[in-house]
Amino acid sequence: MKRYVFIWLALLTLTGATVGVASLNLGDWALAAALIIAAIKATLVALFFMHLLEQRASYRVALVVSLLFVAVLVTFTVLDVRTRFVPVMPQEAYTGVPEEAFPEAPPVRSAPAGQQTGAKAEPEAR
Amino acid sequence: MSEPHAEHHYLNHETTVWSWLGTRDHKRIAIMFLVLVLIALFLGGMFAMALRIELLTPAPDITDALGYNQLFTLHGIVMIFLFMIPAIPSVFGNFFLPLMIGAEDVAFPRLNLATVYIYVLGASLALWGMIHGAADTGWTFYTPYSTTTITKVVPILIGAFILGMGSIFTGLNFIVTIHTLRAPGLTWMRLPLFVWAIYGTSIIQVLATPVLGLTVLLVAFENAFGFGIFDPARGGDPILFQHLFWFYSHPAVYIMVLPAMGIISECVACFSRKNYFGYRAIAYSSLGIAFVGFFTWGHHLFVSGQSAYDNGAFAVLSMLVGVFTAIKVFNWVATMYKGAISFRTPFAYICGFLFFLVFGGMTGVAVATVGLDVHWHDTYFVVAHFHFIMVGAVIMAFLAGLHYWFPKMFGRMYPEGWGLVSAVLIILGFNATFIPQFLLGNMGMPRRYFHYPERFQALNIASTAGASLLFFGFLIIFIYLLLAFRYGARAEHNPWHSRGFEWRTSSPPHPHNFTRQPVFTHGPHEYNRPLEESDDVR
Amino acid sequence: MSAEGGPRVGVGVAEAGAHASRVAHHFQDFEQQRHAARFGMWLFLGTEVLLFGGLFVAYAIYRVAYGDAFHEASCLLDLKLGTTNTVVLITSSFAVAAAVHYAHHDQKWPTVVSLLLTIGMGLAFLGIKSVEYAHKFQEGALPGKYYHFEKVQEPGASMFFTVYFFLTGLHAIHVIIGLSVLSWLAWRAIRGDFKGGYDLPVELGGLYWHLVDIVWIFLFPLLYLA
Repeated sequence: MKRYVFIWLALLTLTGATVGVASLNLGDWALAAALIIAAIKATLVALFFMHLLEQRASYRVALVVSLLFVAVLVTFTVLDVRTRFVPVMPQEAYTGVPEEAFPEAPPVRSAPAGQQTGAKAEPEAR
Repeated sequence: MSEPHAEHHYLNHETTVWSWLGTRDHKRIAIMFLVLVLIALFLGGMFAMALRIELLTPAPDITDALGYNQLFTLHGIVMIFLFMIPAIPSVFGNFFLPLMIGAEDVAFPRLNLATVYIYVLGASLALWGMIHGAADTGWTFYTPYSTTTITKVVPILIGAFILGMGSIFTGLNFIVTIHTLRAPGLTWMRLPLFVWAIYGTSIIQVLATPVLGLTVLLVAFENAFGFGIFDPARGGDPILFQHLFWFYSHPAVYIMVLPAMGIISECVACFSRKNYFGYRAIAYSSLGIAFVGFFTWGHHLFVSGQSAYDNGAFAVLSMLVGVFTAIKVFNWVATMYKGAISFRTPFAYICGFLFFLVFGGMTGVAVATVGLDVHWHDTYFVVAHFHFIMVGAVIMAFLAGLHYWFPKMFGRMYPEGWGLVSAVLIILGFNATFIPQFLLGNMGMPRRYFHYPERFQALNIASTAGASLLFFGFLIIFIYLLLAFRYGARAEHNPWHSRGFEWRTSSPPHPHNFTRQPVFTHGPHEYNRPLEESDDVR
Repeated sequence: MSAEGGPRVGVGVAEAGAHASRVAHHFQDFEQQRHAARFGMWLFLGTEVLLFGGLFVAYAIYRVAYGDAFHEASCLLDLKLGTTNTVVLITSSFAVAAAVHYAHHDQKWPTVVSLLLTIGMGLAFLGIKSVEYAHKFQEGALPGKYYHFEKVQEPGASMFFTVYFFLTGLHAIHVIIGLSVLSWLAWRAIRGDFKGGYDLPVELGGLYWHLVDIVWIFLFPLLYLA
């Protein structure tokens, strides 16, 4: 029981720390700092509250592998967005302009076979 | 061999309707799945035939553009979600995995039964959606079209989500079963190769399917409420959808192909009467394909506007799959080498499988090359390529398994002559259907058009003729298997004299699989040691 | 798990005592069954990680595309309510860990009380979340075509709220599922099901609740502090 109380206090402290670090205005490092603290908290929960530490290795493998594949998905997708040919990037979003600014195009009834483009064309490049 | 044909087995153990619908016996659940996926195969096949008939002439014949779009969408959805993905794991995996590892059942029998009903629920929802305003988006549901089309996509999307849940539970159940329920003496390096293949498949099912579930839900929300997550008009990124979708759907190809490879590994050893050649290589390459399969999804996005760096990386990574596949093919051929081959129906399908896998795989490496893909993307070349793998190879293995294990499952023999005739018909039919499509694609005929220039007609006629051959092949198989189930000659317990572990029990198996605890002292398919009666647990 | 094993010689030798009736026929013993159940649960949690993973990817790429809008919009979320919710959820995680501990040591009422405390905190979390949601609805900080929030007009601002609602909404659904599971466990605990070393359901339900907590541990900094 004592161990759980200790972990609980550590988690509360880290929550305070993450709020504190966010107010420091670290710029680009803010996200990294926040994620590192979150990862430490999650590890504490997993190892002690969820007893990963003392149980079979196969459970740890299950969790680590799933995290690994999320990392793969994030890495390749972010790599894509960061290095994409600019006109293909998601463009200019809806910015509070009234709804009429984006009239709903009539849905395409019986699109010519094969022509699978949407009713709304991509906005032009900035 | 004791007395041929067990008198008391899982089929006649109890015969009430509830004893089937409420069963937790993995064998009965497998049989229920067999019926369900065969219905799906029939339905998807009918859609395919309609498509081929429409394409006989360049002009619109039996349907209009919208109808054609709906037809190929339904063909894709039924074949992929209702047939290919559950077919081998849920039918043969369910039936033989516990038998092969000497277990009485899978780890979670109730969850296993639940997957049947999840499948029925998801399939009914999808079919209901098909009847009421069938989707016309293609089975890939690409945005932004899928969020703006007038046809009803939402029920089919939710159906896909539910089917995905069933797939996850099947995979989860198998992984836990393989980890916890292996009989005494059955070490990892003594597992039959089919079990290794199912293990790799299950890992993919568990890791990839949740992402598909999320993605189809996002599209459903987008379609119903316009939240804009993939909508370029609201700053959304349609390519994000393609990333998420193919993160599942490319590994999903290996959900279909890996178990097929498992069946082939079993059959090759049995019908060559030789030990597996390169056991470890085949086992590890199953895991290798499962792993590398997750690093290849971007090759579907080469012309979608994906970054050039991603294109390059995915092109190279995609080719790694070819390495692992080649390892397997090499080892199968080496298993046959100098074996005492008995050319029965399953062996005919093995030959077909090897041809389709190698041919489809080679064209796969070709389309994974960025420059070539620009030419072939969205043409019939790609259609023919993935049909070679997903239909050619997987259906060959499915049929090989169905014939190899028919005596095990039902205690009857199928007619060998008819088996070989239909195998030849089917292999010829496949080639006649899809080789013209390779040529058409290379000539530049794009996929998903129902109306085409006249110069493409001759090859389209050839393709439709091939499809008709295929149809008759399937019809013959269906008829003789149905008759064999009722009137076929009684099979011995082990008609192939196979040394696979599943043949140690009686055919059909006892309701609880074994009459005593099986113990394993060596690996499967060891034809160099004398057959030990003491191994049998009938 | 009923014991409906057939006559199979030499198999199904269950542990003596309270466990015997808990061992399903296809398991050798209670320990094997426990291992299977735990491993199954961990694999299931792995699928949950990937389910949320898809949305984290959406967050990542829109953050790359609309960094400024994400920063501005996240500053306008209520940090006080967000932090309170984090504390509430972490404490509930602690409470459920205590429940598992007490169930393991055969202490019926401490188990029940810890479970009820967890449920209370889960409900409090949902209450605070709905206050935040109501606020967003009033301001018009809504996803996609419903967006009419005047304070942030940067390109991509609506996308922040699309991602925000998807992430917190999916998480809230998991909280609701978790609460149903915990209520069922509390009811069984009151009935006195968990004794003689049989605490597996509490343990598995607890694992699920911890995962819900872990997801929030990541959502909080990404949404409120980014």
